[in-house]
Amino acid sequence: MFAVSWLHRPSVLIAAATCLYSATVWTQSRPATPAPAPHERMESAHEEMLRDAGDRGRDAARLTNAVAPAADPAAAGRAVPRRNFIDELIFARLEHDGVPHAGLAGDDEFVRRVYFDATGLPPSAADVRAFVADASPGKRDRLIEDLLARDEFAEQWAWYWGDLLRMSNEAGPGANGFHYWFKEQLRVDRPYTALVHDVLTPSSKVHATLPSLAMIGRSNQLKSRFVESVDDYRISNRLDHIDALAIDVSRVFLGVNTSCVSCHDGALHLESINHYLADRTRDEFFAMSAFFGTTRLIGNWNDKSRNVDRDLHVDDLGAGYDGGNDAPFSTMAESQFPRPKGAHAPAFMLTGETPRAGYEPRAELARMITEHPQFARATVNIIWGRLMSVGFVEPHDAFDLSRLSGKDAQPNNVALLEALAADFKTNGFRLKRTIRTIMQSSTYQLSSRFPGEWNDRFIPYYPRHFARVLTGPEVVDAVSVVTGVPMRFSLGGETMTRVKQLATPQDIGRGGEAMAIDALMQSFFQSNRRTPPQAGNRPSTLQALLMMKSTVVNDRVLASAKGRVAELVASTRTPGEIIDELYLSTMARTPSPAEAAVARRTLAVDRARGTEDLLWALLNSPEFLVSR
Amino acid sequence: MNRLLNDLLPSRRDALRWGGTALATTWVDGLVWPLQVSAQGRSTPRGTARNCIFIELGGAISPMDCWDFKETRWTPKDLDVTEVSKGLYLSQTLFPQLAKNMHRVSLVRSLQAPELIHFNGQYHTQTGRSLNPAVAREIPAFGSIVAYELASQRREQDSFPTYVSTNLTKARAGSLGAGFLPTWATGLDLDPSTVFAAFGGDMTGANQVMAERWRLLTELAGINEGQRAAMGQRAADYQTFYDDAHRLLNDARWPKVFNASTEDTQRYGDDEFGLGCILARNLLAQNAGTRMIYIYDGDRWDHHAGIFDKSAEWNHYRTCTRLDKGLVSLINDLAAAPGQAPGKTMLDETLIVAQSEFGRTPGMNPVAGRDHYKGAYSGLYAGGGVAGGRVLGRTDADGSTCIDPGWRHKSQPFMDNTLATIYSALGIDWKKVVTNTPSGRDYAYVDTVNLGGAAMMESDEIGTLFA
Repeated sequence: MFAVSWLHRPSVLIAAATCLYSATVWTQSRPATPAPAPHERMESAHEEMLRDAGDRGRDAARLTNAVAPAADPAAAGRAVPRRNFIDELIFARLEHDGVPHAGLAGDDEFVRRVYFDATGLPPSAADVRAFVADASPGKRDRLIEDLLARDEFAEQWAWYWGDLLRMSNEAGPGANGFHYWFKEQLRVDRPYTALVHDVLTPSSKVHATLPSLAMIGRSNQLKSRFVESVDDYRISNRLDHIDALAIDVSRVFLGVNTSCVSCHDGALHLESINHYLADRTRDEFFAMSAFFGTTRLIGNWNDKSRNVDRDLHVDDLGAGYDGGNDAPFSTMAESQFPRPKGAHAPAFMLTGETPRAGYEPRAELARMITEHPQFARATVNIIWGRLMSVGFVEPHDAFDLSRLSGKDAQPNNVALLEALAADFKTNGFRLKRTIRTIMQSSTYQLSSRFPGEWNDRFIPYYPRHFARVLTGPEVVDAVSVVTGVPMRFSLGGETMTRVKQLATPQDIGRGGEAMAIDALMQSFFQSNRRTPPQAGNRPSTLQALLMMKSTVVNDRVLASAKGRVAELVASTRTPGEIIDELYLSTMARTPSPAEAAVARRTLAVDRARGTEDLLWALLNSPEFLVSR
Repeated sequence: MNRLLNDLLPSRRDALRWGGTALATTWVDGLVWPLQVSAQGRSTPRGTARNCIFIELGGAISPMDCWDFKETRWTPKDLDVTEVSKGLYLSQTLFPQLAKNMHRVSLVRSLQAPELIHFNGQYHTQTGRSLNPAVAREIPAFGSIVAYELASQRREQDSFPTYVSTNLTKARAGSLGAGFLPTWATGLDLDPSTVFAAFGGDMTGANQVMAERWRLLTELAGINEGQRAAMGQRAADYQTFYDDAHRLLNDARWPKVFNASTEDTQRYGDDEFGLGCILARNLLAQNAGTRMIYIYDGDRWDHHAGIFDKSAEWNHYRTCTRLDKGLVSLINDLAAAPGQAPGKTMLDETLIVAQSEFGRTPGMNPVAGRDHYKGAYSGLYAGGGVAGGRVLGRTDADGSTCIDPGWRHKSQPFMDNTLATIYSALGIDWKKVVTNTPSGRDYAYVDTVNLGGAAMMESDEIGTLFA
């Protein structure tokens, strides 16, 4: 039938070669980077739709109700200081609609939250004690300042941006460089506009020498042992690669997921999903991709391995974006969405603007993106969602640009989204500065404990802090920090002790306890970065099974592991002091009298066993696995 | 996906969309969300099987080199193809054990694939329908439908989830959830590469430690001292997950699932597929509530190039012999184990199906591989009332065109009909249609889509498989 005759097309050699490698799983990272098949872009587009399913607002509210004790109803509406424009907008709206809100979080609630959000690690017992004992004014601002200056801050947020930009081991040698480069940008709070320029615009003889080029050089599919000529860039489906780039650029920098219109017009597909995208055409998507149309990624041929190197030559001397220059599709299903023949000139999807004569298209794209108001909106929405557990628009790349304001507005607080975006722009597009502004607000510092009856109708008002389940790397790093038994990873020949010090999830490796760490991280929603972040905020039985049974936890709570437990058991501390210490380091609070009594009975039977068991029980309590 | 879409979902529905992997334990007697069903009673399920093991050969196995053998100029000399039974030719090199056990299995050679892309094909395989992004979030994996349907048969002593999958989080479509069904119908996906170490081994001692720790954990969690209560008012929403996990860990049958002797791993293979088959056998042997097992074999069949190139990591020799070992060991072990009913074996009570998302091209491409093909491909069925030794359906000389569909309809059967066969064997009315889904769109247990023109996909089991 059709496929038989189709097989006789000589060009099939090329298509088949690119199809060789199927998607691999990140727990089984292979030495060689597999080349994605041409159809992968389409597959991953649909895959995302499934992964994104779920309502983050309701998930967060439900989780918060499960883990945050009720507050005294008398506290409802108790005035909190309005510390910046965020508070003005949030509390004015709460008052206007008569929605009750929580009071400010206590010091113990705040200190744990801000440590996790800023650094991805829990505060130590000493940190908590010192902070709570500090009676001087402005201590919360000072703590925020202290945390934002730490290496762990850069690690925490660089890891998250690594998730967003999908920096997996597919990026090859570029991933490490990107990781260090991005951390440095965060540390000095370089304008995000400049960062985006750096990510989108450079050319290089060897892409790994320019750390920011790792995103463009990612997932290079120029690798095939059947290729005879490296100049034939149809050996990879070049248009697939740059379409995937265009999608990621739109998703992360503009908050718009253009996956759908990369294969078909929005009309008759997206009306119930996204009004703006329903009006977009595939040609408009091609025009967006065409900014990368002249970009060439050339792997240097290696005669010995009869393969191309993973280091790419990147320049802008290519022929442009032309559907007629497409690699052949390898199956009939893929060719349901063939690119029509014809050249496409670059045009910015959001405005229709075309590049000025004499300027390189990629540089023009970076300019258009960063000058457009949606850039600031998309960025602050990512940060707000990360810090508040629920974004203005969820997921972060689901913006409907036809519904940014008005009665049918999509963002749950249009005024605040616009104000934060304006603030971001006015102050030089600085990520850390925006993180600080949000953390300093009373809105961020509200307690998660709600006075009175909760109603999901309140979600868009942010009248309490919403809880979040810790991320995979946070769980693993917190376990190692609390137990005092560090992880041992290797990156660039250096030993690393925390997940977030690594460049990619694959750097966890495969030996030792790596598989157990992988399993734990996946159950807490760590993506492999071949797909976009999963951003789940739900407890599960699998998490519970692994936390109770994983060697990552169980081997670390033993006194024989020579960590915190051994130290406490051998010390002269009283059982009460040991119990306080463990509660403070896991939950940032001292035990209640009843909790202390239960724990003391356990330690009285056997000091070592009791300390082990208590730490295990604390690590397995929702209060540890959730930040609220 | 966004507010507009969310608004379509009634809140009671959302209240149930929670926690990816909850297990069906304490929920057995209360189906919290009554489904409105139409078209009931129009099918006559056979009820010949108590359990089902579905093996997904991810990446797509080549029919014409395997179960619908066609000798061509590309056929390697060393395949040692013999006529196992009348008209059934099989390579002794690729399937040495299956060749000796064809009396236990039947083949369908007339399947037609609905998709040609792995992701979409594997989604279709797992859900029995094409991907429709508009309603994808409410579509359950078919294993969840089985869990939902069999919930009323769960017994007091059942602690394992009804639906367990292995390796599925690594499939293209991932491990799909329960969709519009209650969360407890969600499958539990086990990664064979980690769970043996995590849950197996000698549990004496470890169990005592666990018991003491659990006692401490529950005692601490139970403390409710006014405002100092460790948890919120809806603490049970979180605690349920721990209770379910603990009930499993505390069940003496659970660690036995993760016992694989050296002899086992030698026979089955010591990798994701062999271990998955061992897990399936052990889960059924423990008889602790698991009835539906979905084994994902790891996506090793996508042979676009060098299919018989022995230097390639996952060449056809390796993938086939790996399948042969695991599958036949599983079939034989189940055949040797007693079933629930007197005189029945476990194989008699367990329907085993092995199938891919689609077939591969009859012609070899210029790089000695086969590409994706939907015109005709083969599936394997055994146990659970399926007669052994049958070969249903026929293709033409090169395997490209079906010339006999092998069942009572003129059109070729799809994965959807394999699903109807599974439902039928398990005693599930496959013509049911759920009418109160969140989106308001009817959910048919077996979807019947238009195939072009007036032709509709048949909503029928492959009845000719059964004894």
